[in-house]
Amino acid sequence: MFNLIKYEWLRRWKFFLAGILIFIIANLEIISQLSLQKSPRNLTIVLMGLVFAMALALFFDHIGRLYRSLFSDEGFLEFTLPLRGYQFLGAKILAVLLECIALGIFVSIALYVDYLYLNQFFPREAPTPLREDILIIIVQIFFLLLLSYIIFLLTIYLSMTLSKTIFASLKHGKLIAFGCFLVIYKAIQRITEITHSHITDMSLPGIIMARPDWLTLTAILIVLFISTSYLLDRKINL
Amino acid sequence: MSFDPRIPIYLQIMEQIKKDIVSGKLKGGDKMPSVRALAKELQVNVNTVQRVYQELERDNILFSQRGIGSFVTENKETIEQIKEEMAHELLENFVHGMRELGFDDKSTLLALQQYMGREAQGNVKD
Amino acid sequence: MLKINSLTKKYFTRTVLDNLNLTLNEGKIYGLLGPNASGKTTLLKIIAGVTQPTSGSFSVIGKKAGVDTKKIVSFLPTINHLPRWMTVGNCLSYFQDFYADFDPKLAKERITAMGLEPKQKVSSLSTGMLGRLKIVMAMSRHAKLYLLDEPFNGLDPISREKVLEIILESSQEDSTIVIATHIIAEIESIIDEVIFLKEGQVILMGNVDDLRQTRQKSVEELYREVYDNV
Repeated sequence: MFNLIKYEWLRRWKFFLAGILIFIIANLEIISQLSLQKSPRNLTIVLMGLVFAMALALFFDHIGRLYRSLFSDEGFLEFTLPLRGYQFLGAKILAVLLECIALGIFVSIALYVDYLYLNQFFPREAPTPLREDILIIIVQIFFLLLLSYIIFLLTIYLSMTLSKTIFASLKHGKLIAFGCFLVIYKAIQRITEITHSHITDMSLPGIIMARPDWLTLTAILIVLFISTSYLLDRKINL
Repeated sequence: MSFDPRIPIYLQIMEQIKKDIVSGKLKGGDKMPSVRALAKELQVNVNTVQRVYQELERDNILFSQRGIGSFVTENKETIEQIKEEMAHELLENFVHGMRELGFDDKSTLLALQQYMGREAQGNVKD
Repeated sequence: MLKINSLTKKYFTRTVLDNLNLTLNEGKIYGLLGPNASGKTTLLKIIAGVTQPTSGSFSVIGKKAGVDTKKIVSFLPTINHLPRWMTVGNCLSYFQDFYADFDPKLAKERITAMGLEPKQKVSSLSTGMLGRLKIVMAMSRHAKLYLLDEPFNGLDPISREKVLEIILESSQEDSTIVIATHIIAEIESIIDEVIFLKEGQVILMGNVDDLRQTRQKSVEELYREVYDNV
């Protein structure tokens, strides 16, 4: 299973490296412009655009990872490997998860360093030390975003898998799968609405979402994961 | 060795081995290559060669010694017998062919003599 | 060793495999023959595990379809399944990482013998070289069952010869090789048994030398006879 992650990364290390370099260059550019209190120049905008494009590319790449296994010739290699469905899907999701966490940590550190650096130029405001309660909130927001992102990705994965499993022998499998995506997406929305607890306890500082809501999201993730890996394991029709 | 795909390949290989024995290329008591080696050399399936060796052993042309390999029979009579059989087959084909062309026995013999005479002088196109 | 029980595969309204029964033995090389759409590829895909039958089942040395069979079945598809971004060396380590029965030493020797180099990218290989790489990868596993779908397709004569050599040298007493092809002349002298498929069913099967003897025909001629009088 970890071998699969190894090859996911072996394939993309140049992309990651380029992304990190562009981000660092763009960051340096923005900081230098800000510290000189100049308005952004064209180069700054181009670099920011590049960073945005790389992030977008990573998003499509995340979707594309299972798409490639299901719809390209490489599927004949990946689905003949002696791996169970959950190992296969688990490796794909784990790779995405680790990438997002690494990216989050990297960007946070960069922003914090920027913050400390920029403070030198605005001496009136003393730098706020990193307070624990703020940190907890940031971490919570980050994990909420991550959880939602993985659920969104799994919804897409499940729909794609449906078109190559249950609907594989139908003529408009892909179209039906897209319909499935919409249905599942709506269903998840409904479930989170219904189960939403409205009891975010403001008396406890630093809690952004009640525990039942976390549980709902986690349950949705597990259901999506299990159903997708079951289909990949038993019903695949390349 | 190239094969005629219409004739069982194991028969073609058997034929070749018999020829080699009769012509003396393979001598009595010679060790045959292993099944795998011969299969590789001839670019055929191992099972085909296996069958060849089995059939030849059944006809007492080869004999196998457990764990050592297959050997060409040292029995002169057997070799002589193969020689006769093969010659018989060739003659049979030849005589039948000539008859089909309308040669009677006498003119067949004459044609054969003439041919051999010419061949001895090296006048025959191959 | 391979037992197929009333296997049926339907796509939409089309029946590709029709209640197919088949038993293959160990140590044999089988030629799986049939015109396009006779079900050859679908059959191999099902046994390789990339497609599911509509009904019916199969087992390989008693193991039911799934991860257990994938461990002992080596599949060479017609298309290029090797990722284009990989180098030849990447392919080797990939197979070594995932298949316990992969023999890296043997594979390396064959890579060299085939005129391939570990640094070459899959995307830069010619059809002939790619065909050679694919056969090396598939046959360098010590699998129990090898499924080769059109291994000679699009290959030059020299590459074909090399592919043949590898197939022959890999044939072992405890393993079975199935070659699906329409280039019959190429496999005429290397197969033990022939299986003729038509419309998803086995219509003739037997030892090739026995068939030659009883019918006085080459496999290729037999093929014409079987499929011409439709």
